[in-house]
Amino acid sequence: MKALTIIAFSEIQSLFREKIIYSIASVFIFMAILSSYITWATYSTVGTVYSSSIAFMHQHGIIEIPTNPFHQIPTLATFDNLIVYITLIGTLLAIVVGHRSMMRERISGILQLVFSRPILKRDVLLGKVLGLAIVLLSVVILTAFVSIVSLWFLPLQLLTTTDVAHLLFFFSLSFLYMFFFALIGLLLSIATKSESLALFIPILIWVGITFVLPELSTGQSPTALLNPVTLLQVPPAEGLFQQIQFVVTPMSLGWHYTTISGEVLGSSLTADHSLKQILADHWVHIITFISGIVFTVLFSSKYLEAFNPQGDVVKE
Amino acid sequence: MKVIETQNLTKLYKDVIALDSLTLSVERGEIFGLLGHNGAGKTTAVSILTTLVNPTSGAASICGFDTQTDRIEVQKHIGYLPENVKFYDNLTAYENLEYLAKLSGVKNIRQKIYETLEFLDFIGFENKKVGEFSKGMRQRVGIAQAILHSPDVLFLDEPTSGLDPMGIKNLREIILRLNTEKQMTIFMNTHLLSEVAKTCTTIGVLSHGKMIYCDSLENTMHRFKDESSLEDIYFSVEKN
Repeated sequence: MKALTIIAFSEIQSLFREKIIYSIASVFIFMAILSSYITWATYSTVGTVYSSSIAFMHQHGIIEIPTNPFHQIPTLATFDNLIVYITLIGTLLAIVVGHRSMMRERISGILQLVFSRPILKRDVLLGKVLGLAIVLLSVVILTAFVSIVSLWFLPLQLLTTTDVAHLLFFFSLSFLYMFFFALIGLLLSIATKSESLALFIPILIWVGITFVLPELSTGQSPTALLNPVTLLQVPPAEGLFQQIQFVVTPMSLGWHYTTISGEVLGSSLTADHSLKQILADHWVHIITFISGIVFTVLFSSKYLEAFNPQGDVVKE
Repeated sequence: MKVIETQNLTKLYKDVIALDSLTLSVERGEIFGLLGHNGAGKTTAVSILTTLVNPTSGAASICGFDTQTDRIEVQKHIGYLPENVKFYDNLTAYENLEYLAKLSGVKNIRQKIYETLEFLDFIGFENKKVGEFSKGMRQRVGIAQAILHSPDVLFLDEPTSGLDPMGIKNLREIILRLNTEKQMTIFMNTHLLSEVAKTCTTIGVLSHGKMIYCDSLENTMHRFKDESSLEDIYFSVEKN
């Protein structure tokens, strides 16, 4: 077995032993279930009111019956809440997973033994990256499974092939977004000597990407930007704001994630919902996601090469 | 045949000289004891020889392989027991050893682990979590991980640190057996002079990063015959 696969396998085993990761992942999956329940409850209530209204209209001889408002909403829009949960909880889970990946080893002090083995530091890093990817992918797949199964309980049309393709794209994008944050957690846990700083800096970056940059890019309220909806007001297009927008919009990953996801799930009212069109509109943003991941891995590699496990003391 | 060679090995940490032009050679089968006070540069020397740290200048080789350019080859030939060895406390001794054996590319891992544990008289503890072990027991697991892949050279950094007298005696016996039964060359850092006298064949003394003395134990005892113990010899060398 190659060093890379040994490290990746060990990483997966170690991460699945961490109670904190179980806790956050459970909250995340619970929110996915809750999201389905909320959707189900909304549909049931609206459905009941709609049926009563129709019966009432028939009794009073009204012939022009309006269609059920929910029938106009795309099936995939039921996954909308997941966008918010991934933006708020999924990414934090990813940061903790990435942080624990290296911090656990540094605190245990085993890196002296690992790095004295005939393996490349590059393989150690790539093994950890692979392990992180598999763990996060498992969480995303489980969330997807729970969400799709819960669709059976909703009075909706069955998923079409196009819907499945859109869902696949949405969960892949969500994985990429979470993976980026996991790598930020990993990078800082290599680069800093303080355990709390290694967690604090990624959370600052998370706040920047989730709230600050989207606000600077669009001029909207940061909490409004968590939702996959079209902009409530036209952003000012003049002077300093325009220049700030020019610089920060490409880096505004949180905003791009919410926008693309909203369009993929068909909840963005102005968007053309075909995947082809979405890819054509957002290919630059998707490349930005991938570049973010590549650069974070490269920076991690640079720091790991210079990392000296001898006398490495992690401060709390 | 020389298995460890260094040429003007120097390591600077910012402006501090941790190791100053260290030149030494260790023959196959020797037990080399590197002595020195705290901060003399012993751990830095071992860190460079085990490829964990790159020197600022100079060169070192293990079994003919350069520690900077042939890092992987060097690591195949060495075993390393750091001072205060640490493991995954929530894993058993076997699980820790299995992980490290895999990274070392050991074949027939299970058999090799049991052979090693038997050699170290540690059978029966393999399925206990390392977190529950005493310092002496950890040290045995530490030696086990260092010799699992049958290295040619074994580096021990302050191996007696924190051990009780019985632990020190047991460790001494293990070191001698590794040298005689498994033909391992042993390089150890220590400041326990009594242990050096009982185990080492050659000694070197480092002071402020510089090697101020290096000779076989036999020659040393002969040269300093007026001194009553190795401790006196050490202080005499340091003083001069």
